Amino acid sequence: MSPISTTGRLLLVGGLVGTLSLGLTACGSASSGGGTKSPSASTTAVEPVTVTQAWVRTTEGSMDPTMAPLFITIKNSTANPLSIKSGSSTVAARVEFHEMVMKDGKMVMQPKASGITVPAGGTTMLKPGGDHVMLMGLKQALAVGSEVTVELTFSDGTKKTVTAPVKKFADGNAQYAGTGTASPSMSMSSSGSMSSSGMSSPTSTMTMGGTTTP
Amino acid sequence: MSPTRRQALTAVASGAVAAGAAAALAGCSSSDWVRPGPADSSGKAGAVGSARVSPFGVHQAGIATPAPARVMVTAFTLRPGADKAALGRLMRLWSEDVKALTQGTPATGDPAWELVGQPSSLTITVGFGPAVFALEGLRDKAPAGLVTIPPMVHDKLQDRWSGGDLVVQVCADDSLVISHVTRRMVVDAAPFATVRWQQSGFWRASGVGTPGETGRNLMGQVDGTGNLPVSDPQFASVVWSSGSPEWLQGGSMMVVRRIQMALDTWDLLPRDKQEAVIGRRLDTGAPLTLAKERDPLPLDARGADGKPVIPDDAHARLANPNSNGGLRILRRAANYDAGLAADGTPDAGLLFISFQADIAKQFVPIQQRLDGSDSLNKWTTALGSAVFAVPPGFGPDTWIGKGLLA
Repeated sequence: MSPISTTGRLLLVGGLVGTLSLGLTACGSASSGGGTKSPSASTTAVEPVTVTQAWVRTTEGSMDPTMAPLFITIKNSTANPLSIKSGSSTVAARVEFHEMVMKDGKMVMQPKASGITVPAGGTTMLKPGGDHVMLMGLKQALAVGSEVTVELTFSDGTKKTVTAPVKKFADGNAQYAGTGTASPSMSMSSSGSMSSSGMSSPTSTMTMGGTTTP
Repeated sequence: MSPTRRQALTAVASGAVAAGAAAALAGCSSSDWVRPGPADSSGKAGAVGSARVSPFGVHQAGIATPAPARVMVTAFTLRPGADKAALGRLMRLWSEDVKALTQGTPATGDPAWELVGQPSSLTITVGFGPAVFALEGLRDKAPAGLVTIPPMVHDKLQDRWSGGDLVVQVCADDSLVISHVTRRMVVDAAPFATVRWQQSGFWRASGVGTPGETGRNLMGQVDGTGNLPVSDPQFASVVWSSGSPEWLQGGSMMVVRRIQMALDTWDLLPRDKQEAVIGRRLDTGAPLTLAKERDPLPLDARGADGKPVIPDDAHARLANPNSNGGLRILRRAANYDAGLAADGTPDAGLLFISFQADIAKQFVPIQQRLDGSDSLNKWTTALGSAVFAVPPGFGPDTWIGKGLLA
């Protein structure tokens, strides 16, 4: 499963991504709002890069509470493609960028060599089952209702500090360390090896267990 | 039922404009995924669903914006330990949900995102109950006018419909949207608050009735004639908070009351008596003896029998600003129908919602006057009552309640 990072992919996910820009920019100044003008919407200059809709999946119920995925939506208003170069967070030892791919009939998670990219003038929405920012080596449990702050640095040098709420999300595909609803085929040992078998190595492949069924 | 269908149609039109603008911004000339709004306001298929209302502005949407077909109001109780900081996290979370959902985009972590693509004029309005101002760090921020409504003689208040530390009012033209959006808000609130009560109400469905008409309640009355239009110069001072406290400026105060109607006995009242109870005609909503709904109430006029044509105990007289030192509120009351009680009695009536700058100075004196002598009291009983301070609006880079909680 490749990431949603091109215009073609945007169309594939239908209204979900298509209407994204409305909430952030267009509609604020174009429609009636609370019955009066929307000063903050109409005076906000177009930023080259915006990061919105950030959220982190809780470690509650997670089979491997040492890691948690961060999902964001990145809008690139520049004329050049962008990628996330690096990230850091006070709650994690390190921040990595992962993709989900099919290998030998299994959905596996692996560090994304090309990084998470956003085409020029495009929007990339990270969501479960696709590219994600992985907070690795968590120093604390991430409870639902808490907030996590992550600093991201883009390839053009832009830095964005993102405050993301921690949310519950039961992932039927169990792409990460699994949840209470994970299929029986996903064993503790596979997730255990996932977190200890060199996640920091950019070339290693983490097998998540044979849970490709929806 | 204030904001009129004419205003609703305007919102549909502006929603269409917004959708077009967004398509242009996203660089998509052919936009299968943004259902285009109507070229006119004739109500063609899809126009109702694709209509969007911006959540941004000086005021929260859902107060002065037109009332669509349905409303769901959910009140919450803060969990023990939920403090000022936690409330801030919840407001940031909810604000992101409001930004996304009102524009037809899923809330983050929403596993059923197909349910949100047709926002149907969705608005989400958030308010704080009195208990918020008992939290550490917020005790000196309480609005003086945020008072619990004193018990009225005719009230039969039940805990299950009363009070609340937080409120979320969700309005839209589609029940599926209302239900799913309310659920997202409830799920995201779960770490911070539990649901205390939930009440739904309805107006006429979109496309029913004539543009600009005032709604009707289940007694058959034209209901809401007295509301000021948003364009009225007085509207702002009636609805929006100004002055103190500073954080509430541009906000409002919300009253929610569940008012059960004794429909079985009301039905037995002859029509002329029904009209005398209100002081208005049932067919047109016009004041008795007059022709048009908007004609001023002839409060001093007397009939051939020497009696006032609008009886002294008529609801319209007692609720009229001229009888209340000019006091007004903005009514956004909806109908509710919870089916029949075990004994076959209808549990139906008015999900009374009003917005006003100050509950103590506006709502309470009007209600006390009605409680004293309104002849309508014989057929109406308040079963629930709740009050909330509604923070001002927000923008793309801020969040609801930031002025109080940041």
